[in-house]
Amino acid sequence: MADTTKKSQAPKEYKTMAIPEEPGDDEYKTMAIPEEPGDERQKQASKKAFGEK
Amino acid sequence: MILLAGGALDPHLTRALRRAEARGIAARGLLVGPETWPTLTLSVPDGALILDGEALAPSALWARHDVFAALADPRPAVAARALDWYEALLGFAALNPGVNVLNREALGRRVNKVAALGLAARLGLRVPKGVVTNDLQALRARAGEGLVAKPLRGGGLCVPLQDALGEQAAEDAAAPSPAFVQTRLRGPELRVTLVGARTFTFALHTEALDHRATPDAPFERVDDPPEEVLGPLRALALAMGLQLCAADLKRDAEGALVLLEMNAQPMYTAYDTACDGAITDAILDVLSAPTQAA
Repeated sequence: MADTTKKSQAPKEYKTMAIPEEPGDDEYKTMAIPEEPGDERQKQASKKAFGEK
Repeated sequence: MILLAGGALDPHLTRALRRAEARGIAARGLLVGPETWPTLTLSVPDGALILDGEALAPSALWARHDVFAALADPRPAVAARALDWYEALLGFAALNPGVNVLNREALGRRVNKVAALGLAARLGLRVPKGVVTNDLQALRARAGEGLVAKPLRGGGLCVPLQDALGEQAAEDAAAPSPAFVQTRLRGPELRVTLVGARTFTFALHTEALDHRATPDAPFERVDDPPEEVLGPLRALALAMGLQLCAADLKRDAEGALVLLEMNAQPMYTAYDTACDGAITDAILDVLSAPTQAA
């Protein structure tokens, strides 16, 4: 799995009126981040192509 | 006013908010954080929205299903919360047909990767040749052909077929789940991000079979694919109801571009930075366009 730990934490005080500050290292490309979150089935997918017993 | 809604940890939304402010575009965030969230009331069935005590009537909405909170905190409640907010926003979009909603026709619609490849082929795009199967017995006989395997629903990387077979019990004739088995394609991988009528194409240089295995792989902006590929890509986006999406392409043995998949909620911040925020600007332009008649 690709490393997803370099993502920085955003401040916790977000309000709907506020425009958050630059969260820092947010240079995501497409790596290791689900692109089709659609529903919870993404999280339930096996890491093995042909599934697990 | 544009409403930009999703997770507070989603950098795509936060940079869009900052860029809107810099351009003088009226925009407001509805951002759900790890520990704080706004107060929302959506009237049903009239669709009136009250956000933090204020009645809002946005002209446009960009709602992103938040996956970043769950990456930071894997508790099921976090993912469930993200889905609940996304459902509320889909409800707002449905009750307000006059609002310019990005990817309106696709919101809440799950992309079936097999169906998407079938549609792409009908529209004239090359797609990977292969099968969906769990027939381990047949696949073991083809293990030397240089094929690849990948899950039908994401969740795992594309791997050499031999590696995927190695994860299964040697005595089993049928695997627990069917998966894609396809011909191996060649890089560099092209990522074409489509935003309305605009396109942003980058070439990603990696030796890895799946680019997600090499998150620091170098990339560069390149010319868009030729029209015989770009035209069908646009048609595919239209057919899938996507104004914002990103296509992944590689080349087959003949050198022709082959569509791997179309992503309905693309991640693009590094590419956006590389083109001075042009992707974010293009999204804001689409959201700022005059509202279509309901």
